[in-house]
Amino acid sequence: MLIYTLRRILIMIPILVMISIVVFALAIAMPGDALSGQIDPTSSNPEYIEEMRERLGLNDPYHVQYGRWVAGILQWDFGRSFVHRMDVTEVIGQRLPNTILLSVMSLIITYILAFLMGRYAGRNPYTIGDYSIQGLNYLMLAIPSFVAAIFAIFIFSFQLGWFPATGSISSGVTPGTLEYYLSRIKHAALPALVLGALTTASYTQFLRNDIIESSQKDYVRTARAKGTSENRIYNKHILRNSIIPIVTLFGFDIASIIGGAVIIETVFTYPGIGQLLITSIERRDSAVVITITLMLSISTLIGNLIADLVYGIVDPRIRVE
Amino acid sequence: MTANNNQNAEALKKSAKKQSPWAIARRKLLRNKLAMISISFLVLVTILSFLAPYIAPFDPFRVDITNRNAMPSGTHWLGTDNSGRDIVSLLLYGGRTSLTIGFVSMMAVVLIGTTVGSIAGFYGGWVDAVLMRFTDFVMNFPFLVFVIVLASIFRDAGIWALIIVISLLGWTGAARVVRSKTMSEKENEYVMAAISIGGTPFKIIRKHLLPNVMTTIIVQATLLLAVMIVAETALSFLGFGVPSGTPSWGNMLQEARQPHVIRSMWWIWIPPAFAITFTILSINFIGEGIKDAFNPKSVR
Repeated sequence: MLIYTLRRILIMIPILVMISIVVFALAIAMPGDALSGQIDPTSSNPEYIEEMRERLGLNDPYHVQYGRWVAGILQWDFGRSFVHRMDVTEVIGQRLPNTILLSVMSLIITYILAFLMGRYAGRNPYTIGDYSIQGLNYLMLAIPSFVAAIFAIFIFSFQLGWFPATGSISSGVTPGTLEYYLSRIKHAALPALVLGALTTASYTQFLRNDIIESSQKDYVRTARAKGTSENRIYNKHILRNSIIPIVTLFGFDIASIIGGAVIIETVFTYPGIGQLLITSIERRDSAVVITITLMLSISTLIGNLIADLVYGIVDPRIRVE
Repeated sequence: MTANNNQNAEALKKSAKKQSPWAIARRKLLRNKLAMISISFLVLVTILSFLAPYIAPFDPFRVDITNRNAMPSGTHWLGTDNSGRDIVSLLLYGGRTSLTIGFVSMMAVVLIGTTVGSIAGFYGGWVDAVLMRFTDFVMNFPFLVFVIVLASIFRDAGIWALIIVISLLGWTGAARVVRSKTMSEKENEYVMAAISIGGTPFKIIRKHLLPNVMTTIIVQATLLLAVMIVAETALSFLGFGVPSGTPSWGNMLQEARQPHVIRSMWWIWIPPAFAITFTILSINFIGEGIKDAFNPKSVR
């Protein structure tokens, strides 16, 4: 396992380098100055731009600029945000907790919903309940996240008034109090529900089919023959086996949450990384855009790594290549 | 009785002999009600959208300041939007844009994916290794984030830039599926026979392998069509897709980014929301139906 882990991590290094080259190419192609973020993106004065470019070394050959950019990143220097007038790391640091809260909540919602629905449908296949869950799954697979988000805002925020429609915190709440944390959770609940519910479908389907398949197996028949209660068979014998494959999907979830968060945060104007990405593109705050792009690419890479490693733990055959 | 049975068995044999896998699949598909309803719906939506210039009641580009955000009425069946444009006309023209982008990028993605996948699967060895490492590499990029950033760079280039961007990033899944199917198909004797009589790799892939991988490709293509339509609408919704003057379902929903539109002007966002969802739903049902029809194990 150790050798497998090390090998998987070593493979990542050349991929990281290649990703950084692609992101660098994007930075060069972007309007304004994406590498250091010090040129006013709204200025159209050619003399000012030329002078700044010369001073910041943006007229150097690309490989020199790339080297400088990577050296900066290794020292945790991602340039400055021109719009926010502070370091990019600081701007992102302010938003990151919001996105992490949203992601964790949505993952919890996904697992709870998928577990409940998958277990029910798997235990009672081909009944009305199973068919309703399947129908719901089809709908959730088909409805795009932003459409679901708009409906959720319309129903839960405006018609029922249960959740706030925008933002991440009520105004006038002092940080540190219980009220503060509750307000944050309440603001994240609806976006997390939309984000989480939409990814439930594949899990539910997976769990349902696996439970149905397992219930035909010999060890289940043995357990039944010995007089084990139905509940015990399903909860102890089948579910344990069916949960294992689901664990491996966790790594891929990181990738899907990243894409989902960009859209969901924008619809709810929830101040997280995704919404920051969109507003920064709109305001031509290129240094922030490039840092977020790099960050999300690396997160996806790490998500895939986790998926592979977990898979290696669960299924030893994978480790031998 | 026995004679009758024998006759029946013979008749069955005969009919079984006559049927190609395609004919069986077609019959199964025709009997699948959900898939047939979905196909009819998709065809209807497509025809209506492409007839937009002839059947749309209003010009979707005409801005009418006196009639902004009008409720549904006799003249404007679904009301008007923020610029006073007729929702029904926008829906028809928007469908044309969204479906065109969906179909064209789906075809581009299938073409790239099939080429990469079949070459990697047929040759194996280092060709396979290089192509698949490259596929993994592209797969590592968060699709939506990269599409948004790229689309923002090529913002002024219009619809075709959008199609190219989502196609260049979206082919990896198809390539993987086609590769694994080609690899297992390659092991059959008829491929060895084709190689031994001197068939060129290109000819073997095109004439022998692709027809057998075709069912997989068709299923992938339907699913990808849904993915591509969602990608276009999501991008347009965020403001990085189709230029804002061109009607598209995503652009229509863009107005719902303002909470007061969601709250009190349902006629602006519900029609495109339903159009997108039901189109995707019908495409998914068609995909399931095709998959089921080509599955020899299914007994439907």
